[in-house]
Amino acid sequence: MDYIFGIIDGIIACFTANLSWDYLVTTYWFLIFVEFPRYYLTDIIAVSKYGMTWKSRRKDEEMARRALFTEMPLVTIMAPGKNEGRNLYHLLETLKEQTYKNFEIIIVDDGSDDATPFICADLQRAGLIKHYFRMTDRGGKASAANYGLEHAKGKYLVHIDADSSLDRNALEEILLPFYMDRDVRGVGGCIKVRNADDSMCASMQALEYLRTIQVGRMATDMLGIFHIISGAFGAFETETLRQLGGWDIGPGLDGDLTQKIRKAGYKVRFANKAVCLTSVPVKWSKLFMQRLRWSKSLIRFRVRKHFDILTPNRNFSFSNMLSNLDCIVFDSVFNFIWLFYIITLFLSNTDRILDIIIVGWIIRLCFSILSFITMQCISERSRQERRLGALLIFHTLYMGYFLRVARLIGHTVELFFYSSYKDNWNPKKTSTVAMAEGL
Amino acid sequence: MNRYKNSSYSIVTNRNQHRILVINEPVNVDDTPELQFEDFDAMFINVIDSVMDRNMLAIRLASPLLSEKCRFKPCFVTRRLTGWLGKAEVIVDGYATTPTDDSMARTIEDIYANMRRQNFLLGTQPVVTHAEEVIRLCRYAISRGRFTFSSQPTPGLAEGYMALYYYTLWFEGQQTMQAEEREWFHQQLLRLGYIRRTRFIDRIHVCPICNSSHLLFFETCPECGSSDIHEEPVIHHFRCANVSPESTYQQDGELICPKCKKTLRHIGVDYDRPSSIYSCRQCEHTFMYPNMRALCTNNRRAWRPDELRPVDVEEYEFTPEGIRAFASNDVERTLNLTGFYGYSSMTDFIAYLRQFTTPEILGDSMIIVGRYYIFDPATDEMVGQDATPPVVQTLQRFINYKQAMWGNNYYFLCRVPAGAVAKALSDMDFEIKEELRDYQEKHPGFDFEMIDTYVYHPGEDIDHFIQRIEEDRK
Repeated sequence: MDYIFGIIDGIIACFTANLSWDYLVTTYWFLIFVEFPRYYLTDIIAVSKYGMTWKSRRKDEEMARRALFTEMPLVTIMAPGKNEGRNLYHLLETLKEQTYKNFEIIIVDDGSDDATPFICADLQRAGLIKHYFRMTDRGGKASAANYGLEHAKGKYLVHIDADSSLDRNALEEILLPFYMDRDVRGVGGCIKVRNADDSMCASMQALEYLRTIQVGRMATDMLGIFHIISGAFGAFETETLRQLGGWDIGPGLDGDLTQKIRKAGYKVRFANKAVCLTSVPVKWSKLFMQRLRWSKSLIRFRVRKHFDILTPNRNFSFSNMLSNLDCIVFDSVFNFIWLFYIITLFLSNTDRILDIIIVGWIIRLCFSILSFITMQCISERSRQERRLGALLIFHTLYMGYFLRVARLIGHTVELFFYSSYKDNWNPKKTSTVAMAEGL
Repeated sequence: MNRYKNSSYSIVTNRNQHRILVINEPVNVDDTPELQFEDFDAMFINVIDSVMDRNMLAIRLASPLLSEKCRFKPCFVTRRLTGWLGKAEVIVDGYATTPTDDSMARTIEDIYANMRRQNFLLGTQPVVTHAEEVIRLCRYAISRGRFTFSSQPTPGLAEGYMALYYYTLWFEGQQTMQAEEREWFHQQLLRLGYIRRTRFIDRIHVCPICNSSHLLFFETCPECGSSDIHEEPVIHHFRCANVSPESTYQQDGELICPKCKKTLRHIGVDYDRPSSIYSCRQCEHTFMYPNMRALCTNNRRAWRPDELRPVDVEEYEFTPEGIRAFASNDVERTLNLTGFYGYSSMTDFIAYLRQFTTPEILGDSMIIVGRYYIFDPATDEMVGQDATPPVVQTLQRFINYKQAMWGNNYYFLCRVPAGAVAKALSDMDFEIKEELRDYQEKHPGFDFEMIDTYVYHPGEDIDHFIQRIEEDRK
């Protein structure tokens, strides 16, 4: 008991006598000068700007909607995946409810070894899907997606994960940016978590997705550095996709494709109203593995494959450079700096480390609350998401430590050991070739 | 010995004192008053015409199945026709060079010995209805010691497999018994213990409307239904994840990736073929699995495989009780004959209506009953009673529909699936008119006209339906 009181005394002391502004700044510089401006401040600015420009935006959207429904282009909805048969029915149900109706559905089966072929053949017979393509040998997600692209008849192609499902207006909303700007060739949808109630782990991700996707991507979109169209829900102009050769070997093929579109001189946008609900890992171990994979892809693609974005060349574009740099610096470089920062903090303040952690957590919590308020302002289902606010106290630990550690490990192993080539997310045959050719 | 000698037939006696009717030209034995049932014990068909149909006609007219005067008698054919008889071979007991061959004499002796052992009654009743014809067929099989209903795939047969009934069919193009009728007959024989199942042979699929097994199978495009489709392997290039049909890679005999322009050298290392794809040349649709369609050559309707009717082909064999019953001709009393299509008595006709309109049997199909009036065109009155038997004689071979005569009214009946009533009605009218017109050519002095059609819907009161038919006649 005395021990707890001691800590509380320490915290109070921190905020009163012992803690000057100078001290705060020197101790928490990382939080105040790196995290706050990049994540919290930009979010607030983006949301404020979004709020202030609603009138002109609504007019633009209306015009685009009219153009879309006048042209009524055929849209191909493609869901590549392995062993996804049991998820398909739910997806197809939500597709049937779409406000935009002119679409065809292509399911590509990447060598499933369960009942998927039978389910799909049955769905095709029932007329629920137009095409079902099966690769008897697994070839990896990129090859499955390319197989589908080969047969897409639509003017636009919507790539969707089979375990996702769409809001009624999602298809319509994701198509609008194409009609606002002719140079837009790719649009990312807003991914939210469907199984937030399944576990603490899933709830944490629900909060994370709200912040980093719905608000975070709105901010990067506003700054013109939007850099990833999620594989879970993204729309592309089919012809452009074909010109760019479709997807390359993953992991992280969605970010790679977005970079390719940007490099080709086209624009990519984020449609925050095009909401797609997806299932996320419910176990911490699974989540950790997923994040390792994502982190590896950052090094593999943004640092290695698309490094030329950062160097002056014929196709140089400042916003492309910024978008890549934003990823590399904030997601990777600052992670290593953070490690350095944490270690020095520990070493120089060994006697009051607990106080420092708790104060840091309180500051972070304040930022998180601020950020949660911005999310609430923007979200279309703010009421349902309000209860997630109760988890903010843990969320700071999740974002500040769990994800950081996962990223740090991912980046390190990829940087030094090229471990993404050994990942069984891709079949061995393709990884071997990719490794040999340094792709 | 040469008492009956004339150009077309003669009777000779063999060493066992059996008299053999030697037929040199097609002779209608039943219509030849000089020939009586008692005059001969066996037939020898010695017709060798270059027109095969004439040879067949000769056999048919002196058939142990179809001819009254030749019934159950051993039938031999000249050895020169060996291998030419096709399905008629079933009613032939053997081939011989001359009617007095020793082997032929032995076979005749064996057949009669077998019939004596079974106390086989030849019977005196002529075959009129189709039911009687089927029974005679069973009896014929037993008289020859063939106790198994052999079933084997038979070219040209609408039902695909030869069953017992097949032997009754003589005319090309004549349809067999309806599948339900066959099933019903089997069930009855099984219930009475006359036959037993010995072997399951195959489950075949037939057209759900006409039960024909003459189906043409097509792989078709799921989009436009065309069968102009072709299959092509798909290549996955590992290096750049490009997946497209092989033709997109073909360049000057080499495989070059259309996406990254690299040459594909080694399967399993550079690329593999994970799938193949069909494309339609008509509508350019591409797909994994073509649809299967089965086109019935009889009614020209296309079916999905799951719409076809499965039929179990089984082998049956006569039990000792069955053999006894058929040999002593008791079956006509024990067997319910109302279930047969073809010609029947009016009582059987009405009984059929009652029996086969129960919801379990009828399902959602319907029954059409039509009524023709047969009259004298000169007087516009009824034809004389003596004109009716020949009409019946013509109709008894016409087994596609169940029919009966009632005075000058000729009734026919047919079961059709819901939705096919109009077509069935017109088909029926056409076929029956054709048949009666044939008869008209041979027997002028009568005309016919369709007066009524009655359609029985499932669930309708059958007594009321029958009452309507009876009242209209009065």
